[in-house]
Amino acid sequence: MDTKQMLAEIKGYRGAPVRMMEVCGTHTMNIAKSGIKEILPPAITIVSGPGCPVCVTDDHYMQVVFALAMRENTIIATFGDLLKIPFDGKNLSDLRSNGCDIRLIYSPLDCITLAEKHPDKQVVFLSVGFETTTPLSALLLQKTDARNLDNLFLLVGNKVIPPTIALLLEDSELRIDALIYPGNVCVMTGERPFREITSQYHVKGAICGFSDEAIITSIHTLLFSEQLFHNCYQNAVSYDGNSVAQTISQSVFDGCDANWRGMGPIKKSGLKPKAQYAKYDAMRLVDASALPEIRTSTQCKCGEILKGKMNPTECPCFGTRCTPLSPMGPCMVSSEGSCAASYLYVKNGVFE
Amino acid sequence: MTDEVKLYHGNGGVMSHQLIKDVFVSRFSCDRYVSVDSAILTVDADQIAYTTDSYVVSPIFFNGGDIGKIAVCGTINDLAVSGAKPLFLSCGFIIEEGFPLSSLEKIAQSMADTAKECGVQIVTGDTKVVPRGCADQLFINTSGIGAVIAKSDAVLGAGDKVIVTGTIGDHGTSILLSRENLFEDSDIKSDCAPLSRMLNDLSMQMGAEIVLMKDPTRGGVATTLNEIIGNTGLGIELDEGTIPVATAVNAVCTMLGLDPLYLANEGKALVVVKQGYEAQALHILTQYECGKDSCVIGTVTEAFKGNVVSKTKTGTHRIIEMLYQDQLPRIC
Repeated sequence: MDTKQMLAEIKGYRGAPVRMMEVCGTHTMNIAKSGIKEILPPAITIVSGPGCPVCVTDDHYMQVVFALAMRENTIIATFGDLLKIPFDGKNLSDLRSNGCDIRLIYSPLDCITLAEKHPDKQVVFLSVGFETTTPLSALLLQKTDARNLDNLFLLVGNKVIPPTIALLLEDSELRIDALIYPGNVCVMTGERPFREITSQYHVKGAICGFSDEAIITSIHTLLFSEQLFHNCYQNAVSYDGNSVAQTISQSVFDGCDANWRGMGPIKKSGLKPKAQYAKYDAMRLVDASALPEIRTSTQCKCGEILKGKMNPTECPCFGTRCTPLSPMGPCMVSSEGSCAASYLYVKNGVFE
Repeated sequence: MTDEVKLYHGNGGVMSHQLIKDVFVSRFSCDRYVSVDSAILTVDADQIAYTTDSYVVSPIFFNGGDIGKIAVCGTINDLAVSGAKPLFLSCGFIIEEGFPLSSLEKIAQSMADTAKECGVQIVTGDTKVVPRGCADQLFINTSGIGAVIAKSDAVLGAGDKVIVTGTIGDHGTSILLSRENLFEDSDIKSDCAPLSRMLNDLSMQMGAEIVLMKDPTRGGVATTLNEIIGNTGLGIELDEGTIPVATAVNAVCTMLGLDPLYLANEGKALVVVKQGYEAQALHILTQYECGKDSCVIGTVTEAFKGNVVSKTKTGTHRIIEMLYQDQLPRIC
């Protein structure tokens, strides 16, 4: 069946209400950008879950980042997305303007060059990401150790997706009928963990690629196929996934409980360096107990939005006090956040 | 002579004169250069166009050009999109102490070559040297005067066609890759080029049917189209599938999470013509190397008031906003 035909069938769907959730920032953006949501019949809802690693990074992590950035002789190396995350009324971009040494990098391995070039400084890499990014952080840690670099550290905030999806499925308020699984994460993990979720919770799921066609195919499959589990991204996702990447990550990181913004602590959803790599843990550079208590804004509804319980446009701050220019929460900051997606692509309503 | 620029090259004395003579005057062949404070020019035109721009690009040498070429092209293009034939340029240099003389010579040469290619004379200039750390290597300002050759009374209206003169996002992507040493073996080149011959030809041949021209530099095509719409009360509908993006640029943008619509161009123009004249415009533009990929990408509409929108593959429309903050490479 070609995409046009599938689209027509989706538009014509008159069955029982279906609530789908995607859990990947790139899906959030591409679904918004493609306009797919706007042609869905009222019976179909697509909500965004906690799919953006920047958005789910909690205030405690940002507090430590700020403390590190303001130390003497410290270089913070980070991906671009984190620069604009607000914390206590400021962001890393502001700190940079005030003289903190904050560098944008494109690959975690760039940190090695940075550390070797500045032996008199301590380089801290802000390691944030899901299964897709974690192997690169793991590789950085391995190489740092192999070179015996004593001035390179990682602030590990990496998280894993499956335990969080399981938690969302257990939330009775949320009521999810089908999951659009993140194709990029599945390239790494393989089908296995997502097949397990499907069989444990009996909720439909489709592994989905990123083109408009791929997204339409997955939505169509979830609507019209009786089968519970589908791999709609077979040219990239195998049953076992990328074993090289998995081995590297497992040899360097141990699982741990982690705090997610808006969702709180989730068991076994985070990663920390194994004991033998603990000396590269940037947490050791700050006295966390000396940090002040965090005041969180009660107005920003990022938490509810991340859980898929609220649409970005339902937040009282959306588009007024909270815009991409002056974001209150991470969902409006990140290029893959669901508030940013809504602001960019749907804020003025639909043109038909 | 030393091999780098020293503070004394900016003190107005013997060394300043020598630097100006050896590096700039010899290349710009401005025979008017004597110890006078202004260039005296004769312009045979009813109206002149006059513009200025400062150039602070980093890195100063990149695939497809350098800060000198861009400083000349940028000002020439600003004149050309205003319907003027560029005639004279001024140039001001702010140089960081320690800047290699060989690089300065290379940049001056590239300015001279580009100006010559367009029949433009660089007639006056200024040089300042600032202590190390007070500027990032080299900043250039150019101003330009052109003779207005075509005036159009056409006003923007529904049905007008929007043409882009080639692939978008090449310059922005090339600069990003050069700056970050990414994909060093890629063939992505800045599109930095003077457009005056092509656009002057277009103005001469069909001036009355051209509604406006603009060069989509900083902020990219998306931002420029929003500027065009401004407060006109009209909209622009783009057809997403027709916007030309080079395969390699598209690949880099997809990987880094960037949108080519917001990336800078330095050798492209947006041309809006009255409905029915798009074929004639394309016929002229595609005869030039810098316009060979020209195509219609959208239409001015009564609908979508005040917005630039793009028609998606699913048949819906999404809003193309003006650039609101720098695009940052993403995590995954």
